[in-house]
Amino acid sequence: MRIVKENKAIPFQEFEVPSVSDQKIEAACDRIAEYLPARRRAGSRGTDGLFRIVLLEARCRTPLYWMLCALLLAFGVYALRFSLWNLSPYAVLPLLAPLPFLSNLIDAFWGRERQVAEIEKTCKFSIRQLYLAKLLVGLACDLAVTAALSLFCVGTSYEGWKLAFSSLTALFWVGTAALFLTGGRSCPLSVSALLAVWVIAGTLALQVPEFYRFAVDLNTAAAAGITTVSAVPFFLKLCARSPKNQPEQEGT
Amino acid sequence: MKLTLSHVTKAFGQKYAVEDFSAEFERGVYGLLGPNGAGKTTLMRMMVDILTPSSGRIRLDGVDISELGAAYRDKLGYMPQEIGVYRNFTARRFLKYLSALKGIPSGEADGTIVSLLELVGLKDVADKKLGGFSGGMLRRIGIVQALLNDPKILILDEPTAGLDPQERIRFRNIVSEISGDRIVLLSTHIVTDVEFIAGKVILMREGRLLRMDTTEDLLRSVEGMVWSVTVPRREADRLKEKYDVSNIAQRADGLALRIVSAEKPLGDARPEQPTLEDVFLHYFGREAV
Amino acid sequence: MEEKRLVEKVKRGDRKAMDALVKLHYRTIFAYFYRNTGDYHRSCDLTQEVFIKAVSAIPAYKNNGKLKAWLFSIASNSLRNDWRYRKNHPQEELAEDLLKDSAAPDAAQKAELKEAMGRLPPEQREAVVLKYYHGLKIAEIAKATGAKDATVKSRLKYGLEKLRKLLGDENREGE
Repeated sequence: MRIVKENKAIPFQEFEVPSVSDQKIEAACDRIAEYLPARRRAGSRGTDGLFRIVLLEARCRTPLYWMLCALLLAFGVYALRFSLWNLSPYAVLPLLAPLPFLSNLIDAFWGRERQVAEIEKTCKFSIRQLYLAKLLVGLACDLAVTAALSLFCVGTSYEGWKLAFSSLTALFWVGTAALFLTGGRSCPLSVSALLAVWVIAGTLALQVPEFYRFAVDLNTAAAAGITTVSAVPFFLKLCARSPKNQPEQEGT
Repeated sequence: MKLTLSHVTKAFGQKYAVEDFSAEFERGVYGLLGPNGAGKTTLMRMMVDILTPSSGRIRLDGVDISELGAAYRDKLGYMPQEIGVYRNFTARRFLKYLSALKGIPSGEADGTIVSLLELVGLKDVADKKLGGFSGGMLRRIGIVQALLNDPKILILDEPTAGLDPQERIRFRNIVSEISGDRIVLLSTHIVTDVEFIAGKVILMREGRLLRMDTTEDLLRSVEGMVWSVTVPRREADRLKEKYDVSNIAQRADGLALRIVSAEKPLGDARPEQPTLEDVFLHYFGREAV
Repeated sequence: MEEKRLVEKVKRGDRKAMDALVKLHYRTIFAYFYRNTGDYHRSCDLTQEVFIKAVSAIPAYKNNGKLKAWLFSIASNSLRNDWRYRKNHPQEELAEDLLKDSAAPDAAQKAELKEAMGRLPPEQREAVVLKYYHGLKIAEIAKATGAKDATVKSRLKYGLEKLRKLLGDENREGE
């Protein structure tokens, strides 16, 4: 009887593989070729799809939305140059800072027919990329208004950086709440409710002297720190809307 | 290119909308025929990957469509049963928007939109708002948007629903014209929609595949089962109770009935050449008519 | 370098470059599947599947010269999906086996090793195939199969032990 040694070599070479003919491989190539990307020249980066969708989404915003952003900017400039109800811009402008982002959510999704979503879901770019593009439009507008107002602080007694950080903090917290509420679906009603709650709550909070003083006297470095911390959940939630199409699990 | 459905099932709670559906599709026009509630829309929604099967799989050239993802959607054109549009958009703007979503370069999209609008006879209203379009016009927009990316797989869910006869004929002609080198699947409960254009017909009932065959073979399956007979009204009522009647016509000497039955209904009944409507009646019964 | 250039061309939709890449790797991937499944037609289908997935995903592929490893990770994933599906649909497996026996071309090989490999648990078999037939290192196998290094080592250890036992038993039976 042969005793099998533990380290006996295994004759792997004995497991031969049948040959595959060149014709079979060529036939496979014909089928695989149907999945080749569209032809483009060397050096061309191809259509930068998401950017194009963001631009397209921006063009889809109603004139009312752009008017609101312009109004906010004008209001902010006025508040910086003149005293507004004896309230500091450091308190008032952050209150209004999330408006472009929230209004964008309402504008992007209001009246959006479900049946259009059916068509959109079957397009090459996923519905999540589309939602992301819609969100990015609002974020870009908000950042633009905030940046513009910070620049307008030049020549005034107000610090542009402090104003920017305070505004961004408000944007990130309210934006995070909005992203939680919407969860990838269009919920213009809940966002409208959030907007109303924010404005009312913010107005009431500013009437509390301690809170008002805190907002006005907060130093720039502290504001920067709070903004950085606030940005984390916002961008995490934004990134969670990763461009991966998620078909429904349940029907309608 | 081969689209394969293997034991596809979709359950909503205890109810099966689609049950153990298996079929293979290659280039050609397929008609998916079945009464309302047969599961056609659910099946199509799974085939365009906006609904996940409860079990089974759908593969294109052996690869699961959910794994292919964007690569599958790039080959897909889908026209849902209800055409949703942004009513404030013009036709051109809406189609440009969808072109961008389908990854079509801007310059290319402009030309494609013009030629497709011309194909469906809507070139003159390209810059009119969609809110002012009739149902038939919106359906035509629906087919245009499905064709924007020159899809290899075209799925049309009840494309002629709500259209008048003239528009249905126009639609059939458009589908025939564009079918070419694609897999075209169109669902309907109106037999004449597919009778002349579908190479194969799939009969679906209560979520299940009843039969998938060429039109000729389906017609052959009911050969010798279609009869015509003219009888007085009282007799017609009795025959209607007993047999599946696919057509009733008023004649000078009574009512002419077209009956689908394995047995000869009356001694003087004449055998007739079957049509797809007779096939539909035979397989789905009178409750589906 | 040549391969990197080919990949860049495939990204731009070059059919000839795609054909060249497929021809370069087809038989390697086929052999991987054949040694895991023992089924010629299934292996052809799975190999095509791998290249369809690879070509579809090539725009996002970072052309870092590790194409073979990437193809193996797609292949491993496809194999896993295939096992899972066949486990849930055994009646389909039976029908295909009948087809296999009548249609597969002859492969001149010693039956014992093929049979012994077929009796290994799938994950162990896969690890053995990747190491001893395709020369992948432990870390590369781990990356391709989505397992930890320690898990791969364990699979190899137990896989080889079982193979030796099976081959030793078979040799003993032959005497």
